[in-house]
This record gives sequence, structure tokens and C-alpha cells, in this order.
Amino acid sequence: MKKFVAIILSCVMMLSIFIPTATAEENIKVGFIGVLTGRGSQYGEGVKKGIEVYVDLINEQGGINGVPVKVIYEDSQGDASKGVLAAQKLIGLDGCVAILGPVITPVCKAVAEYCNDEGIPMITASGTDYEITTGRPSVFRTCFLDPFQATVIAQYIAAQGITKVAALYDQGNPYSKGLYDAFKAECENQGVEILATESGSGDDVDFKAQLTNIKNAVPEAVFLPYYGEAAALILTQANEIGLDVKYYGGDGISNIVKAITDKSLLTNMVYTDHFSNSETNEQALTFLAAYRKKFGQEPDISFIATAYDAARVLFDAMGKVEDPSDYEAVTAAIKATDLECVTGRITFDEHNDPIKSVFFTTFNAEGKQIFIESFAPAQ
Amino acid sequence: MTLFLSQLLNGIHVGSIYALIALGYTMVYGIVQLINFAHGDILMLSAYLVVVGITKLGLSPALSVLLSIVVAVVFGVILERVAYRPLRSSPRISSLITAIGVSMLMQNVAQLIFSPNPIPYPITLSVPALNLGGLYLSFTTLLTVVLSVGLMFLLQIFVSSTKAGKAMRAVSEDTGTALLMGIHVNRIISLTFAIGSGLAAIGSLLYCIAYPSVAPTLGSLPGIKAFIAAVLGGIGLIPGAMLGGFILGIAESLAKAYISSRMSDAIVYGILIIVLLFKPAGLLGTKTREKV
Repeated sequence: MKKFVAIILSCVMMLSIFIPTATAEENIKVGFIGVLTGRGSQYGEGVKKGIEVYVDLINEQGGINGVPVKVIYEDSQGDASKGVLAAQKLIGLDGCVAILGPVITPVCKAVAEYCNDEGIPMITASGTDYEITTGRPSVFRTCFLDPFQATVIAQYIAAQGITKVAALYDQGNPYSKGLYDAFKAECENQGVEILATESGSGDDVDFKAQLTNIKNAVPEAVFLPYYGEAAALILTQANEIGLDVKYYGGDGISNIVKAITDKSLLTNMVYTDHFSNSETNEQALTFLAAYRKKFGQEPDISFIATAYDAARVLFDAMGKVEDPSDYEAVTAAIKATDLECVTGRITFDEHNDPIKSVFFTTFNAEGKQIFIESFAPAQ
Repeated sequence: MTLFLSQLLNGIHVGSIYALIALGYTMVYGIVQLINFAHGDILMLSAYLVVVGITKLGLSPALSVLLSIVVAVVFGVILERVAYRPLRSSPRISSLITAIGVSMLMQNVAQLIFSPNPIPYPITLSVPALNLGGLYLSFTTLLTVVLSVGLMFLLQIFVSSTKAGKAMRAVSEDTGTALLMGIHVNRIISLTFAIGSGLAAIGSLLYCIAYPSVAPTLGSLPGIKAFIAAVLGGIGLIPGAMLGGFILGIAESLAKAYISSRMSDAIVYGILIIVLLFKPAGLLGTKTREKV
């Protein structure tokens, strides 16, 4: 009897040796790098959740051409050198064939450099800095660049039949200045006249002088590329001097609700975002349902949606090539992407930036976000 | 023309807030020759008190404002008692450094308690603006100007006609002699700090209604501007603070409107330098008041 048990046990042991290696061979492995601890970790966590939701979904559908997908998650702690080490480990040790992420710009730049040297396909869902993809043919992103939204805002304003606008921006802030420059350029293309351009600087709190000048020019709308805190002050003072028009701003506006006292002023504010939870396209509904089922809550940052799209774009490209570990073929397939995604139909331009819809959002008098529409840019 | 008047009105609005805060600087300087750099932070303290009063304690706005004024007054008196009085006989630079230290301490404590993120000020005045033939006069502007000018007149009457005011002037002119004449110098100095801090609390209310965002560094900018206003008008003089405040506010507003928002501060400081070159004691100051 003892001998019999021993034989059985040793057989089990022998077999168990084969189990992990057997499954490992059958997985397509992809590495994720992102800041999961410390400052900015809410973005890293969000991006990770977005990827997890899509990976679950694609594995339920049988993976890529019948092969399951496995994502290995590494924490960069927001540090560029740790990000590169993580990439080297993921590719060299774990046998990953592509990188999703990183999350914040400095890490994106460092890892993008490494991926470009090795030719590894990389898609970031949240790196909005222009240079991340510059001169790096295997590096892509699924979030739009900051100035891109200003271009779309100008097109949107023109589509509303508005022809006379004014702009107030922060000269000392690259985000604000970048948005204004793009807005101005597109207004010229669209035949929208900018009647007055005013600027504030740094930590100004008084905008009444500039707003009075804008009011005097009688525009139909005001472009306001500011962050929420300053925009809250601007809207309050504009109300005080009786400047009652529509205000358009970029994604920086999204935190305005927390900063403003009189929420009823927000009904004049329209801003752009990467995604809205009220979107009703087929992909978005699938994503939202899967996310709610997995995490029991609504996606709280829009990068969750862009992360889901990053995974979708990558695995879609891998599904189109014979060998997912062939870097060049996968890169070419990503470049050729034309896919309906959660955040709209995605194609890539020559700089590997997505050309896709922008989500226009406003507020009701209680400060609740109201989705207006997703607006596709003129191609 | 309407545009110019509107801009002038904007300037008067912000100028009267500067003037109100400048009164606190100027009174304290007049009496103990101390530039109380923590004055701006009393603004911040009162703003947070109003926020706490309304959102945490559930008080009515009026009661919260009253609370903030009372606490600011008490705080001002304690501040003088604890931080400045022990140093009164030491070199003036020691008190000055102490004042800067108190200012930093207050900002950092506020940062610890309330976090550095700005929060909205819970009081708004949703009264529609008066339309005077295209010229919009908002209720906030009206209230601010009336309140600050009114308070300045009250203060001027207090200083020139009451017994305590007379004592204040006596201490300001010569502390030693005032003491010999039987004036409670310490009590008068406490009173000065109390009035200054109370005015700062009212200034804080007006400032935050105009710019409804409360952060630990809230007091720095109006504090420094009010200090400049006090110096411009002649520090130590109540009408000087008022005049300086209005000049500063109007210059700032017109510079932003007609020249460049980036240059506005440079223009304002430029005016200060030019005025001080010709009148080192400020616009209304006379040289004889300067004690060395």
C-alpha cells in the first residue's frame, strides 16, 4: 500500500513539472508598465484596470486566433529608469512581445526610447507629450494630444454656426498656450474670427479687466484653455460683469466642479474629454458593462477607456499577423489600424497619434456632467 | 468710454479691497514700526474659518463671517502678545524676521490641515448687476467699495476723536512719553492689532467673494499688494492706505486692459519706485514722521 501511494505521488510530481511549461508556451505575453504606487498611481491603476477588462474579454472569446493572452504588470513607481528596467525584464526574462503603457510622460519617453531601439511595439494610453512618438515608428498612443482638442473645438464651434469668438489664455502655461495656438490656427482654416485675445499670467486671480475687454468685443463664444481652478474664478467674474456667452475649454476644465461655488454658472461651460461614460456606441457599451461587472463601479477617469482601446488596438493588430512575436509585422498592423473603439474610430497619423473623436461635455445647474456628443474631426 | 469706465470700476473694486487690507499694515506700522507680514495670512485664516463654519459646523453665512471676524481679532491680539511683544525692545529686524516666520508657520499649518488644494469659497452674492447704460455695476463691487470706504471713515473718526484713538496717536508719536502720561501702551497696541485683524477678516470676505477660491497661500498676493499700497500712500497713515490702495487697483486694472496683463505687475511696481524716488515717505507721508 505504501509503495502504491509513493508511486502515485511521484507520478503526480513528475506530471506537475510539465504543467507550467506547457501552458506558458501557449500564451501570448504582453508587458504593462505603469506607476502603481506613489504620486500619479491613480492614473496607473486606472490604465491597468482598463487593460484588465479588455484582456478578460478577449480571453473569454478565445484569445487571439485561439491563443490566450497574458499581461504581466510591472510598477515603474513613476521613475524613468525603473520603467526601462521593467521593460528589459518584461521583454528579456518574461518573453513579452509588446509593451502597453507606460502611464506618465517621463517614463513613456524613456521606455519609448528602449522599445524603439529594439523595435518592440509599444502603445501608451495616457502619454500626451508630443515627443513620445516623434521619430519612434514602433511607438503609438491612444489618447489625443493636448492641442488636438483645441483644433477639434474650433471645428466644433464652426459647426455650431458660430463665427465670432474671443479667447482668454495663460501665456505662462505651456498647456494653455499650446491649446490657444492650435485653436487660433484652426479658426483661420474654419473662417472663425477671433475678435479679442486676452491673456493672464501664472497665478492671477483677477481677470475682470481682460473679461471687460472681451465683453466689449461682443463675441458669440469664448475659448478658455485653463485648468478648473482658474476657470472657476473666470466664470464667476464673467458673471459679475454680465458676460453671458458659451465658454469652451479642454480637458483641464474637468475638475472645475470642485472649484466653483455657484454651480449654475457651469451651464455655460463646454469642455472636451477623452471619453464620457454616457457614450452609447457599441464598443463603449460593451466596455462599460464589463467594467461595471468587474469592479462594481463607474470608470472614474477617462484614461481607463483609452487604456482599453490601447489593448484593443494592440491585440487586434496581433490577430492580423501570422506571428504575434514578429515586431515589424505587428508594428505595421498597428500603423494600419482602422478600428471602431470605445473612444471612437481610431486611425493613426504619420506621427503615430490617433485621429479620433473628442467628447464634448457640459454641466447642469447642479454641477453634474452632461455628455453632449462625440465629435469626429474633419479627416 | 463705457469700456474705460468699466475698467475704472474694476480697478476701484480691487483697489478698495487692497485699501482695506492696507489699513491693517499701516496701523500696526504706525504704532510699533513693525511690518506685520502675517497680516495677509490672517486673511487666509478668516477665509478658512468661513469655510469651516458653513460646511463643517453648519452655521449660516452671516454667523460664519461673524465667527471669522471674532476669531481673527482674538488671533491678532494673541499673535502680538506671543510673537511680537517679547521682541519689542530687540532690534527691529528681529521682529521683522519673526513676522515672516509667523506667516510661513500659518501657511504650512493651513497646508497640513486643509491640504494645498484650493477649495471654493462657500459664499456668493447672486444679485444681478445693475445696468447703467451699458456700464455694469455689480453688487459685489458696490458692497466692496461702500464697505471699505465706510470702514475707513469710521476708523479715521475713531482715531481722531475718541479717547482710545487719541491714545493710539500718542503711542505712535512717542511710546515713552505716552507711557509717562499714563497711557496703557500694551493695551493700546493690543487694540491696534485687534482692529487691524478685524479689518483683515472683512477684507478676506470681500476678497473671497470676488475671487472665490481658498488656498493656504491665499493671503500672500493681496497681502503683498496691500503692503505696497500702504507704502505708496505713506505707511502709518490711514488716508494714505486708502489712496495707495485705489491707485494700485486702478493702475493694475488699466495696465491689464490697455497694455498687457503680463506687464501689469511690472507697471505697478514701476509706479511705486517712481513715487518713492520723489516722495520717499509715500504720497501723503511727511519726512518728519520718520523716526530713526
